[in-house]
Amino acid sequence: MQFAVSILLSGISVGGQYALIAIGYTMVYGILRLINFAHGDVFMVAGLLVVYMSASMPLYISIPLMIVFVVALGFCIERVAYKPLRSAPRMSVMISAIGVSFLIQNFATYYTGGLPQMYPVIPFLSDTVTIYGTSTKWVTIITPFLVVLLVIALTLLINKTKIGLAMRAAAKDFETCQLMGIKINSVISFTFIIGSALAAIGSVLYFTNYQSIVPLSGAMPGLRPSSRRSSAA
Amino acid sequence: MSAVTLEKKNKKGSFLALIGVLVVLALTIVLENVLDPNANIIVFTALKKGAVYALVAVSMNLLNGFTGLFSLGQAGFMLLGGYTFAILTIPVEARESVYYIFDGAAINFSLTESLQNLFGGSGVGGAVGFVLGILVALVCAGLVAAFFAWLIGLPVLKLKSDYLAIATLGFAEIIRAIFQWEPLGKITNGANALKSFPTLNNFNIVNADGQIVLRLSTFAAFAIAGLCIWLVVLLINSSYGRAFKAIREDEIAAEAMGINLAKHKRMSFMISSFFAGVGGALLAMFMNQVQAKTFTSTMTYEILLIVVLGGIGSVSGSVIAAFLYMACSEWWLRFLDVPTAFQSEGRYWTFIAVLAVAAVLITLLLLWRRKKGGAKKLGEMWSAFLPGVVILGYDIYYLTTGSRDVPFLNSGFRMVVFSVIIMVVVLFFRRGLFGDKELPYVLRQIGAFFKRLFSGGKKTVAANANNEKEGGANE
Repeated sequence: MQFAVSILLSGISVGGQYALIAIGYTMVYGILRLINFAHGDVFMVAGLLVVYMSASMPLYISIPLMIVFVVALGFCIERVAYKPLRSAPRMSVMISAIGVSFLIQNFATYYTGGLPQMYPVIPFLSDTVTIYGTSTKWVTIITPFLVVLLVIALTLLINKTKIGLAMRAAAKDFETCQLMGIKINSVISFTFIIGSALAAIGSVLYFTNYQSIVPLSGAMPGLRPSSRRSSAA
Repeated sequence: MSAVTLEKKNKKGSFLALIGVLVVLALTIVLENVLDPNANIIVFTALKKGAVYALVAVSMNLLNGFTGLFSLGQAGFMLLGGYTFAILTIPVEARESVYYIFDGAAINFSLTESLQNLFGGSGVGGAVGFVLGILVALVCAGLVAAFFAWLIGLPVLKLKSDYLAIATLGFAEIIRAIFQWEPLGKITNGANALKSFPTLNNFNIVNADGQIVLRLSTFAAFAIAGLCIWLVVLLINSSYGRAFKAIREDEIAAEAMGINLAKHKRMSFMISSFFAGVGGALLAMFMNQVQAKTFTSTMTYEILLIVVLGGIGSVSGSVIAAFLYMACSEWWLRFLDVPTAFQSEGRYWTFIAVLAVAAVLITLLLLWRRKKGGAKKLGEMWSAFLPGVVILGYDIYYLTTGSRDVPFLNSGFRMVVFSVIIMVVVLFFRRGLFGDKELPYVLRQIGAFFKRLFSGGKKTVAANANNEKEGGANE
């Protein structure tokens, strides 16, 4: 029983964290038909940013600031690496995505010196709690609820708002969308912004659980959701 | 990509190519015996690794560039090849110590040794047996990789573009995981390295006292890689190669022309994997050991980037890019990893000036591109100023700190510079070094360019017309 509970809890929480990353993948794929290989690395950068910023400022400032920076990073990646290739063959864009991923990983290796960085202990989230005899971190309990909340919010955004309508339209037919006067570039940027923000939140949850961050941390959780992306969007 | 080309067979051209290859091979022998390999270890590392990566890049180009199948499984096939080679050639006495964690190996015979014995142990016969054994092992490495390619191709080749990429990438990861699996330890040595098998250094000819008479290790790498690349070139120029290109251009049209899509895709996938397997075996020989954890997806990306740098669909481009890439990463850019200080005031100021000029040049380049893209108002061009401003800002900041250390230089910076270069190529020079043209065409273009440069008006027109005649078939 104890074992089952602990497995169940960690399974649900890891699944939730992956879901947050996967949403970013699937939204980009839905609109651009592009596997954004850099997304996993954005996730890793989100972790590293907290590590470095929390050294000089309190967590309640550094985490929101990190989300802002990560969103800016996602926005810049799209503008610099994907937008110029909008009319290029799909393979070029994918290669560009791999190049960005390569760049971010190498930069992270350079900056951290390749050493694993320890994620700071976040009060409350990192505290242990005992359920049915299994002790676990609060983050494990909170993750599923937070993920469900975020997903509901996202669904509302996509189904009820104007930008959501534009995103759905862009996913259906890119060219027609442009003909209808939708500013496709801002829709795509918005998609990247949401995706990056979710990855940033996901990284807080994920790295509270698995505390060490290496430059390749983003690669593995990054690859896994991408194989499931086709079912959404 | 341009239309399918039906290049005329040019006897003189292929003869020249043969001469060129022979000269390069002779040069490797001369170079290795004249230069001291221990003092110039970096040069030979770059050359050998370049040869191996050239082969692997060409094999990837065959699939990605010529058949249009975007596959990312190269590292997996290289791993298969490397392990097959190692398992087949580790000497029997060495197996006990290599597999000591698993109490000896399951397979207890060595191809090179048995062939050596067949040809009479030592001396010339032994050498013949040894080389033959290595060649057979290399072919086996390729065959194993090709067999797995066939197996995986059954489901995977039905997928299109990015699904295929993800599926093959996943396959490479699975293979890596399986080879590290403990229960297979008697064969694969688990997560530990396989070593003690014949390496490139075994090609060096030694006399009875064990002193090296003639160094052939670089030559061996070049010869094997060259042979394989030559086979790929032959394939590309054959009717099968034309079928591959037709599939790349338009699957439906190719099918309508009577090309069996499934068969040709499978064939391309298997042949590409075959050479990737041989390349993996060569890499194992170069590294003196083979370990599953080195064959990560990063390795595949590296190879892909070489292919992109050289030009997707250009064999000579891939080869040259592989050597450039290796020369940069192993040799020319090494200094970026070592923190140093400026040696003189002059260099310090030159560096600051270069940085400032670079900022201006980048801004101009970006402005020019925006203008070409149709931007008129300054408001649309603001982002073109960003990189220049950042660089200039850093330049001024660095000046104010007064530090005399070369900025940024530290371990890992080489790879950052490298990936920036790659991103620049991907974004601004999308066609890579050669586009989908081959070396002779590029040389002719360069020749024509200089002709135009040095001659007056009338000749220029003639040269242009000539060019168009040559280039017309390719566009």
